[in-house]
Amino acid sequence: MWIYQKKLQYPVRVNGPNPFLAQLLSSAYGGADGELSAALRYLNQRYTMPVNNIKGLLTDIGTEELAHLEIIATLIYKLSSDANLQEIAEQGMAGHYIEHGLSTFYADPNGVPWTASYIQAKNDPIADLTENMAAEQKARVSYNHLLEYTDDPGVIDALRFLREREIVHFQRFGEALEQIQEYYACARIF
Amino acid sequence: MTTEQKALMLQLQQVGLSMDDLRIYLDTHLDDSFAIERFNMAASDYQELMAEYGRLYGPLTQSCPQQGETSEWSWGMTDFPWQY
Repeated sequence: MWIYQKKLQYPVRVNGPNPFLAQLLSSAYGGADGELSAALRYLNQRYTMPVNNIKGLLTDIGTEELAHLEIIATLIYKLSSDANLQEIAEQGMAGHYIEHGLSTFYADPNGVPWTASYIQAKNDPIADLTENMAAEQKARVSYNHLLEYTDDPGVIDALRFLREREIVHFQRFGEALEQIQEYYACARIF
Repeated sequence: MTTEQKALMLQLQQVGLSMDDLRIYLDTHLDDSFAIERFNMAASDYQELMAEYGRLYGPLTQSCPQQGETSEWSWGMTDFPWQY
């Protein structure tokens, strides 16, 4: 099970309404390489992972991705909750507003809804861990792209933190991949 | 949220993040006793900070006992993280 804590993993502050940025940030919420994809991908891979410490790693990174999902939701909420209708229309969030009001939603900035076809599970640790490493790199690039469009210092701070965590996760999945290769190399010796 | 409450929350976030980072490091470095020691120190600090925060400002997590004399269930009554 999971235990909720009423706290963000990293503090979030924003400089007033910015529907433009709120709309773009849904990339990290419900986009292909966003935090929802990451959390669901890793947590789902745990059940058939043959090596115990990597079950632990998938649990811990998958859980941290849920915390990142909450950071992104908080950013979106804070950037949009005080916006007026004119700002929402002028800054490209009207389509979202018509469909969802100011609710956050699992769709990318183009409105394409999240789908399980963004992720995979192959019951093969090498394939799964390699997918995870690619996923972390794609998430890092998406944060780079978002940072190019951000001039709010609080948002920049949070996005830099999230980008840094993708790099750390990539490193950890790389170590897990090496360990699983050693595990299979040993398993073949009788 | 007062300055004092914010400062305690920030401390929790700092210690919590160091635990998050050490935890996944240890998942792939099982025999690093120095890191285990660091993790245990952070875990002990974290428990103390969580208890202190709960006592002063209300429950931070679902296993935190109800504080004080009030007869009202307080879990949902204090701000959620996107509200402060």
